[in-house]
Amino acid sequence: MNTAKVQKIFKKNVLLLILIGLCLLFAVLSANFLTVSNLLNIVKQNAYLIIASIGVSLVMISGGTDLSIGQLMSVVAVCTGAFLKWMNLPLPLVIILALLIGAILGAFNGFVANLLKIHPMIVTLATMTMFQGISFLISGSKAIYDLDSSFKFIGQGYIGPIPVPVIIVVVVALIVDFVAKRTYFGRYIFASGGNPEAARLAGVSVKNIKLIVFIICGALGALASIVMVSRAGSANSTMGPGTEFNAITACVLGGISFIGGEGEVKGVIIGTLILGVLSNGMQLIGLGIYVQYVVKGIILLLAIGYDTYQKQAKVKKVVSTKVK
Amino acid sequence: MEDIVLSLKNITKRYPGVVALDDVSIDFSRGEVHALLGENGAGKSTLIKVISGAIENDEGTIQIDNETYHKMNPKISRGHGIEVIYQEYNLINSLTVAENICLGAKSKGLVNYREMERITNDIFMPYHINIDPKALVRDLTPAHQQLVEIAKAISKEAKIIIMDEPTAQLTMAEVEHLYDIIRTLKKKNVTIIFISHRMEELFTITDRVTIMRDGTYVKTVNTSETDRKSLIALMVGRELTETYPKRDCVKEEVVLDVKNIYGFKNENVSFQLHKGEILGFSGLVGAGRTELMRAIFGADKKFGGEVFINGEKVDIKSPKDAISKGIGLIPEDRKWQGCFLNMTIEWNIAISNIKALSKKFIVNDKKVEEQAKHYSKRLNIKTPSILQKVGNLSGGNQQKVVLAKVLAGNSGIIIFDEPTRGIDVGARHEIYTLMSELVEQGKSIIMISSDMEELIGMSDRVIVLCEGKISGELSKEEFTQNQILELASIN
Repeated sequence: MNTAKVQKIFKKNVLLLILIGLCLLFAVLSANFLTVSNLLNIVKQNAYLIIASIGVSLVMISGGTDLSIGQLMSVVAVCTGAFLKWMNLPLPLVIILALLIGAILGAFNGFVANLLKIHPMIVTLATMTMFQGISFLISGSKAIYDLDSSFKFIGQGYIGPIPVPVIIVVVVALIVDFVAKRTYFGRYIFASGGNPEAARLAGVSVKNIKLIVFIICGALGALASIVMVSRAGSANSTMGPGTEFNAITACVLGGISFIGGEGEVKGVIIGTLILGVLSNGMQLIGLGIYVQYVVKGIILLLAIGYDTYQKQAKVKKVVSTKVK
Repeated sequence: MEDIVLSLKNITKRYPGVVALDDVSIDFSRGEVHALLGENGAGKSTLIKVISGAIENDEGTIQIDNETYHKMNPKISRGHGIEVIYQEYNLINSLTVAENICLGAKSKGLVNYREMERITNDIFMPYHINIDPKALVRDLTPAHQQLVEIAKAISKEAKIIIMDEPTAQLTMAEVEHLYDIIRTLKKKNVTIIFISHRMEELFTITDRVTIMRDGTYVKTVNTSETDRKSLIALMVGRELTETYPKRDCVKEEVVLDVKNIYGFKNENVSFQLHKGEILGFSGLVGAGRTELMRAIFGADKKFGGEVFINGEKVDIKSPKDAISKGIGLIPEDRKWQGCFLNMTIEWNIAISNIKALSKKFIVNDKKVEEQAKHYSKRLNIKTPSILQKVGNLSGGNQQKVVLAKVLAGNSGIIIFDEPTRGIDVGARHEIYTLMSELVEQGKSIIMISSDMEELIGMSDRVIVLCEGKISGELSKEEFTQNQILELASIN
């Protein structure tokens, strides 16, 4: 293999290599890191984040951002708790209702962004506060404990040796990846984010696409919330907020362009896992949560820096590429 | 004459895998208008960037004011009075004209607006530029923005002004004004280096023309001693026998009947398009040609009027409706309205008709690939692979991708908005041939063009717009440049 080939492989898999490198680093620093139970634990802990991040990544690919996802999850969390504990609704109905609520809140985001023609970042900045209020109004600041064990199975159970949340993540990832890559709807999402005006002139209803993507993001946020609540076994209004930051970090880390039109589910998952491994590893070697914040912030800057650097390198390449 | 102001000697610039400039030597005389001519990719832009110091040459020297440099940088270049006016203007949109012109000029601490306006007016006056110094740049037309850009260069007492396709966005009247400015500058011994794809203007304004091809220097000729044909031959390395293909295929049948359209810029516009016809639309920039087509295509709102396709009334509310009714649009600005630059050629060509290439929701990748191969062959898209990103292609090839995308939609009516703007002669000819083929196959074309030659050469009929309304219609026998101009001008 020549150096150019190695470089190409390196560039293509740089994220995966970073993830592996981090794992090796923590394996050396802590004996407890590289155990099956710890690694599964990392995936379990981050399952909800992966699902939410995939939702956000779709919005980002379509040219938007969703800052409200954390608060949306909070609303769904307390609603799920309330349906189960206060209203004693059957589990399948609860799940359907929860997903529906997520989808409706997502639809609201998309609808307002389309109606007012405002960038989704601003819209979701506003709805984020709204959702927070709604969540607390429903819960009355109270926590809902002792959720049913059949419900907790979603977040804590195993099928064979594999944790249920991991199965959910895999299924979601496969479906979304398929939709993004193999369906014309997926192409429309990339078109809407890559160049909205060109997409519109090519006959794509960019507004509809943005709306649908927000609905999907809301539903995935709801699913993430269900996994999160069932893992905790209780629900309250402070669960969820903060996810938006981690999700966007994971997306950017995973190569989802902030301008839209670029990205892959694979990248999002690896991005989330990098964050998860960092948290877990730093915990194991005794670094506190505040240090973790600092490190995560630095990682985000590095990721964006690298992304920008590569794009500039690409521009230079474009100048130099002359088609014969 | 032999008063050399700038001398390039053996300039070579290499990029990985490509030699962008290969041993290029050119002398520029004081006070001359010197055109650089060549197809896209000939190295003109790279050469300009070497002169301005935006990029560094690998070999060769640049001699200016009796000083020799191995490499330029923007500071040295500016210091010697070299100013470049790029196609994308370097103005700050949110500032006023005066602020832009005085930007970077030395001041004594505080900003004196009245003084800035006076300076600006002083610069404008000898060039008959009539722009309010207090106006915000973003409110100006592209032509006026360009004048501000030129005035800025003048204010810096530039000795050499380089203009990269200055007339691409201008109307005839505006071009005339630009010529006047260039003549005035020339009298003041300013050297103008001028890049253009339009032949006619080379003969109007330039003293000498340097032809480049594939990064090499071909020849420098005196404009007065050459003609169009030999210039084209030098450019492409072969002779083009006939620039505009001949055809005779207009039928009686009306395919598009537009009645009393009102839009953002248009008032009460009605016209008919016949089967097999190329209908040209002319007018000044801002006459509402693009807006009219966008209204018909559903890209912008229309406030009244009816559209009939093949005698049937249609209600087009969005581009999606228009495409499903059989209208295709090749937009004015291919980069921002036509292409997805970070996507592959294959992907771009398929986006408009992707539903037809899918079963249920799932895309048939094989059909997508076949379609892309078919069109890249038919349109002669020059690329090593259809998986190449469109952003990596030259302007002409990008335009062909946009064409392929619209053709894939199989529309009967195709609107071309400035189909050859900024495209080299070779690709231009291919696009003309394609348009002729399309009408011969029974399709109908509407073509908006600011290029008078192209409009006259290609159209079967020309409609002229002025201030949003139709000011006249000319048949093939009637139209001449003067006739069209007459109708386009505001009384």
